[in-house]
Amino acid sequence: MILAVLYGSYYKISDGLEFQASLAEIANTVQKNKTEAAAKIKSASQAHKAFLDSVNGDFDVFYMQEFNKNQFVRTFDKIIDSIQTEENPLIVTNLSFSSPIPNNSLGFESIPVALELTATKDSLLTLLEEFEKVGLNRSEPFYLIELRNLNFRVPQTNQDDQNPEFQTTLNLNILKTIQN
Amino acid sequence: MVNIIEDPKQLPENNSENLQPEAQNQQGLNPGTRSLYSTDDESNDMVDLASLGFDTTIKQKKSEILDPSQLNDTVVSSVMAAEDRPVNSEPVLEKLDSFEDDLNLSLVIERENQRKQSIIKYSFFGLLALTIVLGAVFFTDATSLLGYTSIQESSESTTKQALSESKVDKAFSHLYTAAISSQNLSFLAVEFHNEFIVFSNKLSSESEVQASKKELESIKKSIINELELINTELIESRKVLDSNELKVELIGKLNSKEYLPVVNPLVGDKLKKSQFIEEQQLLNEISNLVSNQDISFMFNQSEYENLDNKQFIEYLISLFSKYRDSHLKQLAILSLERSSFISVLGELDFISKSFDPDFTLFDTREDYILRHTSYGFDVNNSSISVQTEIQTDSPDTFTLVADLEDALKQSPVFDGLNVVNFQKQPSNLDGTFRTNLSLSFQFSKL
Repeated sequence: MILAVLYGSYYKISDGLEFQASLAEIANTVQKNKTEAAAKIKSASQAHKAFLDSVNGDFDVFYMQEFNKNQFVRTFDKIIDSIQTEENPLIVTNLSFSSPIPNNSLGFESIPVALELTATKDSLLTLLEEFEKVGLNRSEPFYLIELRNLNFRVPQTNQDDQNPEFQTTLNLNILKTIQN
Repeated sequence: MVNIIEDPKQLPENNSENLQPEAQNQQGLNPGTRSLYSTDDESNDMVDLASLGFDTTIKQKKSEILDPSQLNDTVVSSVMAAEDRPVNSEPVLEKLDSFEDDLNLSLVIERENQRKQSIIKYSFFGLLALTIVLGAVFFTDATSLLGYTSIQESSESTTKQALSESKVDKAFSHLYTAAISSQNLSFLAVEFHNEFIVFSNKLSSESEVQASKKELESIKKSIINELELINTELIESRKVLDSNELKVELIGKLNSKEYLPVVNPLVGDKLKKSQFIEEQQLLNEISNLVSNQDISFMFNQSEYENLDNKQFIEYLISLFSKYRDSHLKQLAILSLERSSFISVLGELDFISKSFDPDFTLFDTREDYILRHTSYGFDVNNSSISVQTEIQTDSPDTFTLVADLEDALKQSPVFDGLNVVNFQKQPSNLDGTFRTNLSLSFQFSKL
């Protein structure tokens, strides 16, 4: 019985000491983790702020909120005006919108838009380039436009005119995320 | 058989009361108990009647029985008494009862003593067992077996909980850093794609190509830096999240939006950012990074280090497609997967020029070798249809058509062209041969 008590006391004391040591070790680890996490979060927060500062523009209007047709029309006119020149006219004679087509599985919707326009080779190519590159942009966000189909015939009427005008139809989709 | 009663007063009174007068008289002469004798000699003067054939344990005084002078009297008186008195064995039986009572009392005392001894014995062993149990509980913290938590266990549990929380927070700090890079990656990928279109477009001027080449290298370097940073942070977070429990705890904290205030560096700032890149979107990026192994696997350097520009874009599309609930990744994928009519036109222009150096996309010449008079593009089936006219001075017009078909087929952009009908018309005016072709084939998105 005495031996049992002695062994128990030894066991108890050594276990207590080990426990104290492990507690101290864990406490150190916890403190170290907290310090490192705080420093990391602080630097990450600075990086996050720098990233947000580099992103300017109303992303919600273009990618989140319900499609604002009239706002698109006004912006569209500005784009056309910026492309067309006296030598390379670009005249949109018809602009029509169809109902949005949702793609729930991928979380976005498409708004079909049809254009009828009169253009030259250069003005048409410039318009295509503009539509192909607009979209997700950290400094100049705009509606994400996907060209759907384009058909045009090269005019053969006047051989002397190296930059003849022609009419064409262009169908495109405006893509935006579906607002939950 | 003889039972000794220590104290005659303990005899029940009713016993003597129940006795007949004669018996009482006899009792006064012959009490029948050794305790009534003053000495052992007197006791020795008693005889056990049982030994004389009586069915009893009562002793008679030997002198009364053995004394010849009294023998006759005794015998006679006994005989006479037996004759004169009604037959009654009560006195003997009463005495037996008395002895039995004496016996019972003794048994009661003895049993009482035994009971006390048992109580002491069991109390001792009970205390011993209790001491052992309490000792074992004290020394080994066995209370947990009973469903109780010891102070040590409680402290240990609290400390371990604090350790888990600190680990989760540390892992989160790594993932937070990775998520910012992951968001930035979306913009960089789109910028890279736009530059790649300019760079690979055959209609671009040489200066445009050179400028876009530099931009491409710079953006690609930035993307690779972000990918490496994300990979490093993911590795660090996995080192900290060394168990599924911790990972589950982190995901739980993300889902419960516990970290939402942490990932808002613009608190108090006048700058208001859109929902599109708000804090919740960043947390979604973190959730993707921590819970989607397909994503974390793709940040391994071996996945992208040897890819050319086109393959690099395809890799980014594949990576982004694995994200869930990320607006940036959705828009980036849609942007990266857009078809470029300009690039298709450029490729067609490049191939056509190999047959007619003066070719232009909008050709109005009459002295052409090859020209396209109309174009049609349809993204739905990635198809292009072209009305083409070929004119040769020699009759080998079909050869030129076959060469054109092979050239288009060899292009990485076009596929699916198959010309099955060859026709030509000789011109009577200038001796040339002309053919009109309706070419339909597919184009790739990049």
